[in-house]
Amino acid sequence: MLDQTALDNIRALQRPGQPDLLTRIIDTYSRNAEALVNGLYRALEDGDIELVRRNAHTLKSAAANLGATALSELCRQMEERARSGDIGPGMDLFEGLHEEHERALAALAAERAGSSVSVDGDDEAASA
Amino acid sequence: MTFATRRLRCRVLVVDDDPSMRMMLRETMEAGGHEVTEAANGEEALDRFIESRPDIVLMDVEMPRLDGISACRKLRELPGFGMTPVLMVTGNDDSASIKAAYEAGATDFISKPINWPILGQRVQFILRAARTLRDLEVSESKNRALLGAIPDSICVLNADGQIEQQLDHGQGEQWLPSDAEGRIVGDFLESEHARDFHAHIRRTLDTGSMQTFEFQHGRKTAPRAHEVRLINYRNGRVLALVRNITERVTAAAKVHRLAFFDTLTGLPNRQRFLRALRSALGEAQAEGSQIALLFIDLDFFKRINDNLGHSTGDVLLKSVASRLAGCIRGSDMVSPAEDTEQRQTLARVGGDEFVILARGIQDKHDAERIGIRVHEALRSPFSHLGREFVVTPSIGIALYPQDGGDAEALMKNADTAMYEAKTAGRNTHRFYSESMSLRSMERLDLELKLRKAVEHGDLELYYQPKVDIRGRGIVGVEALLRWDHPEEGFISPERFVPLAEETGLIIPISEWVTTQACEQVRAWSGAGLGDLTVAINVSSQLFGFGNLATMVWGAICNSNIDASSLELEITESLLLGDLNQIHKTLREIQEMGVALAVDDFGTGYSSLSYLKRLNVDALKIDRSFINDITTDADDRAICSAVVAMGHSLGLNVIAEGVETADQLAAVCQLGCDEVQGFLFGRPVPASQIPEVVGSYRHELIAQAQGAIVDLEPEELRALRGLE
Repeated sequence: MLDQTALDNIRALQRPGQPDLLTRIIDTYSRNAEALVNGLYRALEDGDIELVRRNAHTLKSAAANLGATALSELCRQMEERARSGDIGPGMDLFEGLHEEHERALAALAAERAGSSVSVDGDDEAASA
Repeated sequence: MTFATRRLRCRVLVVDDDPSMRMMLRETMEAGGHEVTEAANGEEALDRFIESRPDIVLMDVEMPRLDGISACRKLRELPGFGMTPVLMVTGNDDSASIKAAYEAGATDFISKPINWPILGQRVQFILRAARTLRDLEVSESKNRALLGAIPDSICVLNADGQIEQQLDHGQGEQWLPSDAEGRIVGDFLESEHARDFHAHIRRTLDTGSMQTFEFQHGRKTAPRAHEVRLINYRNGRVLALVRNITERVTAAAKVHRLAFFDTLTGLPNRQRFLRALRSALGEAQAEGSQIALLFIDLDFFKRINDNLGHSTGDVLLKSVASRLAGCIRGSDMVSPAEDTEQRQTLARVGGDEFVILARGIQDKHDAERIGIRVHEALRSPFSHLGREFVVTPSIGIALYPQDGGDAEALMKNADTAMYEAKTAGRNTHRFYSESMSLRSMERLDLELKLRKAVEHGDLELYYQPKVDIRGRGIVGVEALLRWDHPEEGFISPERFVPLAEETGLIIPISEWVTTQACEQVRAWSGAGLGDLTVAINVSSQLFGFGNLATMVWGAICNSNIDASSLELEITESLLLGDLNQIHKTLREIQEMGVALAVDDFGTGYSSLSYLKRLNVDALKIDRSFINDITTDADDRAICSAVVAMGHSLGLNVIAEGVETADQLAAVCQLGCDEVQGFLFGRPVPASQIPEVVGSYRHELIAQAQGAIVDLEPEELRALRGLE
């Protein structure tokens, strides 16, 4: 489910003898993304349009970076909504976003482990 | 321009709120060999920026706490950071933020999702461009600094003299206004300078070589001199460098003035005068005309400097100079030292020495006329700080071609003639004659001899009796200097006294004479001749000093004599210099009890009022009047007048140079009080005086007071009995 081109770009930056870059990136992303999604939820609850927009914007790029294109797209939509000032329907968008986020995390974990993940996903990752 | 092809290692500041983005950016940059600093938002970015001074900033537009656009703008405002490249990371297809980034001053943008390998290369390109810009900036500031330091104003002119570009130099006065671009350079100059300027432009373009010329600009009263250099520039243009050289010109003029003009009087100095003289001689030779040189030396001027200081001396010199300039000026005042037709030039060639060069004179009389004008000009006293000064000239005149063929010979001979004038008694003029040169050599010789004589005590005092007509007999003697030189023999005081005055030897001589005379009085009173007064001649040179009184008093005390036994004779004609000082000294001497007589009366220039002020005791009629008293009615009339005047002022009148009984009879008739002369005795050594006094014949007087006695020549001789 992940766009391998993006991941390959990262792999290409690996310098010999240095710790695994992709692993580090994925780890950082995972932490960060979690915080962004939670923050997004709270912002939606509070009606803080600006915060919604910002979080969505940030997560959008971060996700795209790691090939989680579907997630990135949903974030873009959220960002648009927030920009237009109308986040009423934001909550249902969030549902889908959150799901996609979970899936991305799982896929990245699998990547991290070094093996390609099937559509069914890893048991471990799926239960996270 | 060379392009750097090496990969540059730089400092990179990475700004993004997303840590994974920062990580990616860091990795990418470090892979390129760069050093990375991170910031999570705009505020941090500014801090890190100032701290680490990165060579490039990669910044996300969207950030909390000061977004990228604002941060970029703020960055650009920081002084000195205007040139740092900023690469903004913008959203995909977000043209609004791309535009905003541009307007905030961002150098370039890269949009997400970032192509990481491409990013590395993009950064390299940007760094190289930034480096080039920086080099250019450095070069520009160097140029600006250079231009600023050049004291020239620079402009680019085309062939028509139009100002295409104007670079101001900001150094002082500008000859062009700052908005002169587009105008013609000739518009700012006077027509003749404008024409000249344009001609030079054409010449520069035609010949391709640099033209240098000058022009004046500015107000007539304060013209500014400018130097222009025109250089061929591209495409039929010239570069004009204009420099204000007024100061240089003024300084050069000052140096010229200092080198060639006397700073005190403003007159040409010796250097310049010699040049003028040589050039005048050249002309005279070509034309076959005559030239006169008048050397003017101020009499006794050294005294004024010595006694009153140079500041007074200088003020007087300036006044003298201006009066002399008045002598040679025509009706229009052109310059202080040359008349309208530049026929005469005045210069100061020494401390108190001036010279006048007169071109195109016809004969000696022309030259003499100038000399007389000089005497006239200096005749009336000079006033300064309440004092009055009499300054007289000794003038020597030499003529071209008779008295010398070149400048040096003429100067030397005019000088010799001037010296003659001094010897002749000063306040007069003399024309050069060859015999003078011989005399001047003799004079030098004599001076050396005199010095020796003074040192060795070869001078003597002889005494000549003075007889009272009313029957008291010999009442006193006059002390006279005598010099018997072992080889030369007898040298007359008329020869060596002026020389002594010239050389200052007169001072030790006078001291000696005074002391000697006083001792003699002492000696004679011891020998029973206590009533004899001794009269000594005092050079007027001693009056300026103010210690004459002290000297006299010292001699009187040391020999323990009565002051009234001493008499001072001063020559009428030589009362020069500071009249107040002379007057003061005379008063002091009189208060001691010493008598004062004016010698050679009738030959000098003193006014009657001054005579009255002097309050002397006696007048001695000059021998020249006594000489022809029996034959010349005028002389007789003068003597009569002097006697009358003297008596009415309460003065004794003494007739000098009485040699015959007839003369004696005449002076008796006129009423003189005393007589002196060969009739009563030549000057003799002190030792012979008692005998002279002893053998004095009263009959001579008695006979003279009666009718004119007809005596046989032998009887007369016997009566004289002293030859």
